[in-house]
Amino acid sequence: MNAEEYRRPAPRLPAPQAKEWLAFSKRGVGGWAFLLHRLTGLVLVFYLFLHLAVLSALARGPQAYQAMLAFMDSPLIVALEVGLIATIAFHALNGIRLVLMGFGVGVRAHKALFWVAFVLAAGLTALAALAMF
Amino acid sequence: MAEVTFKIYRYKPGAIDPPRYDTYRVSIEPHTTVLDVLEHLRLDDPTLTYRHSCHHGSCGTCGMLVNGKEVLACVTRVADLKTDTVVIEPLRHQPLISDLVVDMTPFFEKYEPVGMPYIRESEYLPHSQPPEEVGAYTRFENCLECGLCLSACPVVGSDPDYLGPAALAAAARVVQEPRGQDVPTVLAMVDTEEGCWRCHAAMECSEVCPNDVDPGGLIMFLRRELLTGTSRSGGKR
Amino acid sequence: MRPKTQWLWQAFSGLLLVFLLALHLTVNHFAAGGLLTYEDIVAYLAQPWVRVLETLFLLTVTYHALAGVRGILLDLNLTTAAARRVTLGLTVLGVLICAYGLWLFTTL
Repeated sequence: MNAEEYRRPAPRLPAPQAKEWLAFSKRGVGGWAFLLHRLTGLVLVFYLFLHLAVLSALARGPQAYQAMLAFMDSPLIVALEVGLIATIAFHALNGIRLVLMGFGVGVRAHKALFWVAFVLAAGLTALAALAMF
Repeated sequence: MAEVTFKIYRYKPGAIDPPRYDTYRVSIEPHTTVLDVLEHLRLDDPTLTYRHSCHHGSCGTCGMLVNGKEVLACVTRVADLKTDTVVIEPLRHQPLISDLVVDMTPFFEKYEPVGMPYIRESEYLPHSQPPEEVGAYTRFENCLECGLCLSACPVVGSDPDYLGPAALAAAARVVQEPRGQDVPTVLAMVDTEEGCWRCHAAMECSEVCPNDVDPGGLIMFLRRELLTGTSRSGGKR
Repeated sequence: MRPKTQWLWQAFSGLLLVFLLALHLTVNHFAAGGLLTYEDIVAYLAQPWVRVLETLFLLTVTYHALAGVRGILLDLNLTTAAARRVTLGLTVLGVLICAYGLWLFTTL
């Protein structure tokens, strides 16, 4: 068979997919940090919209605002708010870790730094929960 | 001696298509590697394809997924996996040619233009004086060009145009030890949307690298270099 | 904006947010039980420095959030044209969010 006869079969191309970000089976600490940072970021973007929408009660006057506040006092909402604090705390602390790494600080210790961020976030959340309930 | 079940990904364009998993039972010794098993199976089924060469972790051709993790099959002992069932699959994020063989063309298309020299100054035996005519002891670079890092990187999985950990690590090595290469040109290559700024520091590349290249750490080195220009002189690591 | 500049702005806005958000949360929700009534909020926002800080917070959080979304979308190997549409769309969205937030201030 000469070179012209030879036809390489078309390789099976992997489709680029966002689900690769969620490949749970093979994650190391850094991979979990990446995934959690991305997910918490998206949750916070969603919350930003929600927060601004809820605050539209301010524009509808004192009665509307007081009614909204009364609704916000339910235990379910407060529990969700504790979750929100956890999300913010992790994203903020891991964000600091990412900035440090970008400047070449603590790159070799990135796993330890992840756990520092994680534990600090958990501690802050616990403190906030105590203050809120 | 123990019996282990191997589930091996099979794919041949037009012949085994869609892909399937073939199951084999193989007796293993304490030192049997995954590559040994494939070689053994190939005696009975010559259509089983995989890449290999050196059998000792220095050529970087036998990269594959073993139980979902990127490894070099030749230095992965089956006994160390501590499972009765071992799943063997081709590397991710690279075009699949047949069974466990992926097309390395996209890898080299990004890796070669960086122009990393294959030798570097050796950090071993720092106190020994090389003979006059040698000047300085050198050794080979760490990167085996195996492609495990591309398979492990979640961003390569969603963006094939991303330069990826191997090419970026090679670029960082040029910056650290240029050996005649043009550092500003290489820095300009990686200071792009699809260069070192696309990385999200999941560090999965460094996790799977079989030869301690630490691509993730080197990408962070490139960032620091571009942000602060600290080791512009191209100092050695 | 060059990718390096984008990274730096995302880092800078993120670090700024750590402080602004801590302040925002403490004052609005934790200190002295938080701002509990409509009148509390009106009195709080009547202070000029509060308006400056809350406005800065609104602008920073909107930028950081939408730049983050853009970063995620650009990981999906978009064509140059699609990437430009994403940037344009998110910029418009950001301007709308900020305009809405600033308008909310004026209703008080």
